[in-house]
Amino acid sequence: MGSAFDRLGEDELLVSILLRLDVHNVARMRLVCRSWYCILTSRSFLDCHSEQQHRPGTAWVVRMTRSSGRQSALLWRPFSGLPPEPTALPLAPPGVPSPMFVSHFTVSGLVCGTLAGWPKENTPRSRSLAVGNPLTNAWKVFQCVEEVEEVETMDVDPETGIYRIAVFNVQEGDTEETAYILQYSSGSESWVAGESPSNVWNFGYNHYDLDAMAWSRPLVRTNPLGDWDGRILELEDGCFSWPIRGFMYKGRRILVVHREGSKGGFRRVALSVLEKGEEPDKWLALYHGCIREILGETIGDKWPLGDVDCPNENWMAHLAGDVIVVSSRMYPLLAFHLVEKKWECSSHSDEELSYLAKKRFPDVRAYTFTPSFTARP
Amino acid sequence: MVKVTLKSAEGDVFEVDEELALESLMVKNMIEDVGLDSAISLPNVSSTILAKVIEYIKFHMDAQKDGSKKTSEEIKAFDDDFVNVGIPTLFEMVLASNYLNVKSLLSLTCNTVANMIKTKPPAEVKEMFTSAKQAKA
Repeated sequence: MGSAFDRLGEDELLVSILLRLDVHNVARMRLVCRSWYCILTSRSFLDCHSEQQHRPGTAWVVRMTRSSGRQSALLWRPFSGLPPEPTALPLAPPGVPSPMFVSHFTVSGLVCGTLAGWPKENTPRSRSLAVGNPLTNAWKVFQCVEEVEEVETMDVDPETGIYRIAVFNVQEGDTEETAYILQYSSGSESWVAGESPSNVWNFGYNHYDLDAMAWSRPLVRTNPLGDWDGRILELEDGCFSWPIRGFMYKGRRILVVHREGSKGGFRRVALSVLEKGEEPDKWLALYHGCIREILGETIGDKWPLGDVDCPNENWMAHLAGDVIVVSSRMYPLLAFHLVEKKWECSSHSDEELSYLAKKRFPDVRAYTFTPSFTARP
Repeated sequence: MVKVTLKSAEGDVFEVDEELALESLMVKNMIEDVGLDSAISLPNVSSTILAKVIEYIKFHMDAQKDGSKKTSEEIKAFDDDFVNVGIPTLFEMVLASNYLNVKSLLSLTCNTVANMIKTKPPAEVKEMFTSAKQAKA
């Protein structure tokens, strides 16, 4: 009888053990020896591993933290039960200063963003786009023909790996703004114009269809929050609402909306997650509530600022798997699970909390993705 | 109760209930092929490991029986204790449960090895596998 190790080593048994590791450990264990490296980088292992392990619901968030002026990255895996941990995953494409990279969209293991730097104004604009797989640290940086306002949507062909990106641009005219779509394909590496939206600021409410290169019909014309009263926020002075982002999730149209207003001189901020109903212009609320309530369960008394919103707050939302991650400059990162319909949030570092206590905003930056070894930019 | 005779690599004989023996799909197939008249020879499994496997199956069969008062915590505690063995023994149990085709034990032992790997730096994992090799050599 040979040694257990020898038989484990040459056996598919070793593979069946290694298939039980999470992505993080698969990468780590490539360093054990040459034969493990060969197994753990082989296409057959990785295909099998992604089938078994990355439940499609998994979302990873890489969050930049600063402590004593030094930047580092923290990996947060919402709804995994695992605490955030320091990570060597990149904050930006190699050679690009990390504050330059602003993630706009994530799909099938890839992230797509602009290299614009953190905006002074509300929306970062740049002609440079980056698409990357953070797990393998493979990136592609290329230029759009115009400055990009927002990456509207993106998809990846599972057979060919060719991805398509639609960017939403706005041209400021003398009297009014014009919005238009440019669409990129990694197959032809070229840009073409898509259909312009009928309303400059209706992105989020409607869905841009990459195949048709047009907006899905019927267009949603009314504000989904228009006929809601202000009772959730108990607002006195009216309510201002703004769509953060819309997603297609398992054929359903999901919209994340930010609302704010004041009551008794206090500012209140709320988030809603809405799903498009079957009737035209009808939206169902998957969640709505004050940000204070979302934060309350995780952060409790440690949150120093109540419902304050920072001026020109830059809200962003990303859908990865079953999870929507909502980020902003000052709030902790928030994650909403579309199946379980519950929130989780990451916490601030002590240094960031001390910023907040002095009413300065710590600039929370992060990107979200589904871990995949096989996605290629 | 029908009994089945299992023979380990060293030639030691274990007499177990048929119901218990059938938990091993490999033994079940052997019984279907050759019947119960002769002892079932398991040349790949040592006596120590075979005794452990029988202990594991017996505990879980009892725990699943109606009227069993075992809580899920007790079962978990048994499993944790069961795999709390030296790495060479653990590897032998992975091999034996694979060979005997006892799915639940294979899953338990493989998960245990995977969890040990997760908590160690690569150099220690290498060490863990190498020392298991030396212990057997």
